[in-house]
Amino acid sequence: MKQEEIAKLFPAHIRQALLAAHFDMEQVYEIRLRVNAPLILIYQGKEYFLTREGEFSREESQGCFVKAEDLKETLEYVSSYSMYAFEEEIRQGFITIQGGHRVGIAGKTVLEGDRIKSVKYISYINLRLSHQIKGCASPILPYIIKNGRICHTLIISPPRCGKTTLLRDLIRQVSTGSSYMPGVSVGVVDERSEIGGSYQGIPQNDLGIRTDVLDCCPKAEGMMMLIRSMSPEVVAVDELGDYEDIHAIESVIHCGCKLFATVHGSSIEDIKGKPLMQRLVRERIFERYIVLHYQDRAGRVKAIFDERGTSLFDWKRKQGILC
Amino acid sequence: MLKAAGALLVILSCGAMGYGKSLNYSKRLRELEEIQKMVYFLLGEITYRREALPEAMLRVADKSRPPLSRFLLEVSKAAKAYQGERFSRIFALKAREHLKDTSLTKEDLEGFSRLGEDLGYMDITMQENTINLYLEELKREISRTRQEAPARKKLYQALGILAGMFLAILLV
Repeated sequence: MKQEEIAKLFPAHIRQALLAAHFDMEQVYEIRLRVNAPLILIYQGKEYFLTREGEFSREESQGCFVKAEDLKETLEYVSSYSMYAFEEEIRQGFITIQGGHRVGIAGKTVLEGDRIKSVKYISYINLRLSHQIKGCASPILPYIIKNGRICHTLIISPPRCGKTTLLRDLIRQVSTGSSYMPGVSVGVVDERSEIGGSYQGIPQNDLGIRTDVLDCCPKAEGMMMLIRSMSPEVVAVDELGDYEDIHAIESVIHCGCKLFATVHGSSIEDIKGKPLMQRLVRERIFERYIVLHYQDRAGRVKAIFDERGTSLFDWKRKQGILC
Repeated sequence: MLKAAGALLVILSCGAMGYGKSLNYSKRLRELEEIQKMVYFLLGEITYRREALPEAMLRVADKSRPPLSRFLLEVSKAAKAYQGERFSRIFALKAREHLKDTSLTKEDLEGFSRLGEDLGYMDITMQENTINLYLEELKREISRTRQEAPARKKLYQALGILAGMFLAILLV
């Protein structure tokens, strides 16, 4: 990830500070801009203020101060001067840019009935940098392959704990093949362009040699489309949640495809508490549950369960696997 | 004899100037039509493909002829550089730079630059309306130019020859 590529999304004074900074861009997780507040950088899991000279500081007063015009300019760059092209994304509160990085936005919502039509007076921007960690799913693979076949797998994780990173590498390894099994065709429905980070339809992240990606497509519709058109052996989706998603999952499973999915949560109990997900757990649709948590760093596996809830791995007994 | 040859030369040069001016009129018509075609492509890229402006312009550049293709490429390049310029300014600057040697009038160029002022602003409906409004103006201008073309061309050619004859009489 090039520092200039990220820096050029910001106005001149922030750009200069970012370019002057000596840090490993791979360790930057977030860059937060809030109107009339200093710029905040999340680096190696810790929060810093970035000074005009590009130094990290704990002193709020030394940080680069962000004005309303800076946010406006950043938005122009992020949207390539074309806010109209991101109407749907803005409605959902984020824009995905080249490289798969996600720009979260907040401001005043414009409603049409009870539906969010748009967001105006955007005063908060959070650039979340996408990271690809090749090989991070290797320790997981033996748990999700049973008798030479892949299991329906659900990754459960709180935000910023690495579920998309893990899913991405899982897709890559299953698609390309590993020492555990040969590669199989994978269909990815990348609703928010976070998994593949596609730019003009081409994934910027390595998703393996047998992967087909439906970019910016609603999950439910995309899963059915992929099954009909690309006949994948594994279907992968990120962040399940809607009723339509759950309904489509049933179709995927009944078509004989295997499913990799992620969901927000911190335990199986959390998932059981969600009315829509509850049924999937009760009916033992998923054969493996991988629970992630944040311990020292993102991507630690807290536990792995099978469909009956039997623990296959527990970090308290073993050293947590790094993903 | 020499005087007659000189007079003939003056008449011929002025006539050629008039003819050149009439050719310029046809060239302007072709250029306006070329802009119209380009804007239609751009409208398609924006409304159907939902492409962002720099990408849309890059794609349309492939389907356009110089100098419009060069203009589109340069706007796309400058917009992608994010050097702190507003899009409207990039559009206007590049239009001045790349279309200055065309036969387009000052009004044609001003109208074209005005299109850039509202591109990218607000939602897709706004883009559609902005472009359609410009296309309507352009259509009117093309139709007016086409209607006036035969008479104007004749006028320029006749004026050239007459001016030549007048000058020749004065000089001789």
